[in-house]
Amino acid sequence: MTEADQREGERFRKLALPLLDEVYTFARYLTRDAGEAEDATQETYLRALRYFSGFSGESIKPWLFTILRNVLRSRDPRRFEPLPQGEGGEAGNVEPLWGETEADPEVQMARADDARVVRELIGRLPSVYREAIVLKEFNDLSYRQIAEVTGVPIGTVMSRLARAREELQTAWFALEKKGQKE
Amino acid sequence: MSCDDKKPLVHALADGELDVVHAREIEAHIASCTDCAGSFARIMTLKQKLSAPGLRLRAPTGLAERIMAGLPAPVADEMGFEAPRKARLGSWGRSANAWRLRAQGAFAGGLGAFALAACLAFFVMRADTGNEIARSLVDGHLRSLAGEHLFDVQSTDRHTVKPWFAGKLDITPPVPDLALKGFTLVGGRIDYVDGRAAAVVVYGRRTHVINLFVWPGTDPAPPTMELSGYLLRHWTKDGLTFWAVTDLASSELDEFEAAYQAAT
Repeated sequence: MTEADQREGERFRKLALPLLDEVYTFARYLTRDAGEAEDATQETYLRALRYFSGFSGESIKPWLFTILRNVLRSRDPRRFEPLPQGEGGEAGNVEPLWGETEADPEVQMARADDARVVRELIGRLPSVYREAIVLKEFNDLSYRQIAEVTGVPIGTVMSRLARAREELQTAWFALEKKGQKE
Repeated sequence: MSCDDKKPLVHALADGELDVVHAREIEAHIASCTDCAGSFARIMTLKQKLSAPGLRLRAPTGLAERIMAGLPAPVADEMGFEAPRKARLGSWGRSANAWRLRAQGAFAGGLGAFALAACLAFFVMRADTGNEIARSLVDGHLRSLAGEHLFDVQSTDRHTVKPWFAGKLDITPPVPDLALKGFTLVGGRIDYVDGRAAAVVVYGRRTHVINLFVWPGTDPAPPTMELSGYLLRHWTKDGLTFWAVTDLASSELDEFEAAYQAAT
């Protein structure tokens, strides 16, 4: 192993490892599965290290998320397929949840502002909306960076984000209403 | 009146994506349009909900170790990362236990681990020149924990702590009472961060300390950093820069930030 390799490894460690939780957060929201998220995160770092010499050094975060997104897509090619026009998020279009609920009857009792419920609601969003809101709210990426990571124009990022928020608000409202009735 | 073309800009305003000129323009519009004012309020409520603890997740313990194992020439044993991560477990660490056990098994028995962890801590502290401020903040935090200088004014009364700053610095940091949220006011002090004077408001939770550094200006910085096992959280408000430094779990730091922000 050369000294240059060591320096490169060192640089990677300092830049990329502090973002581990964020990478995992995105992977977890997108896969809704702890094991899969963990595997995807690890694969992302392995790939990132492999291509690290090609990283220009401006901002590692969008770069890392781009790799993660590629990893997720290679594991499930249909994951980020754009939605057909006018579809998405309507009642009946609920994707399978990410696995906490069934095992946990407490969720039924949980107050609407419980973090777990919020995670559930985010988990139900169609993936292109979900990734927009997770990258914005949990990963603190700018619109420009989200556009870079997801490979769509900024205008599309903005409309997806707006849509994600509308759907979350609607779901939230429905939940609160239901809670009041009971 | 239709504001459909303004809707995306209302989101952009809430996300801090507008330049000053456009931000003023949209703010003026919101002031005169109940429809857009409603959307803006709903967006902000949602953003607030999404800043709740427990939504930003922690990577499972052991994952960092496994990734590090794939890196060339580690400077230190994985224990250096293991120790702080372990302490923060439990918020939502529903991870692959098998992996964790395997990782722990693999790294158990390293008698030199402590020495190496110390080296790593030293390395992280010293070598991270890109994060002068973070290092300076963690240094300040560590000094305060070492009993050298936790507070200049010790009081759980905000009406004592806040005026104390007034005579000493150009700024007076907000000192809200967060006792009901589980954060006890401990006191305040003046510290020096990266060569500038900072007001430090000290809060406690259980046996943990949160040092909140405040100084004028709103220079951009990452909202969250981690250094030597300490978490740093950064935000700006009303022309002031805030940095909270603590060894609490991330979820509790989220809670603190939310409580402090809500009260100021």
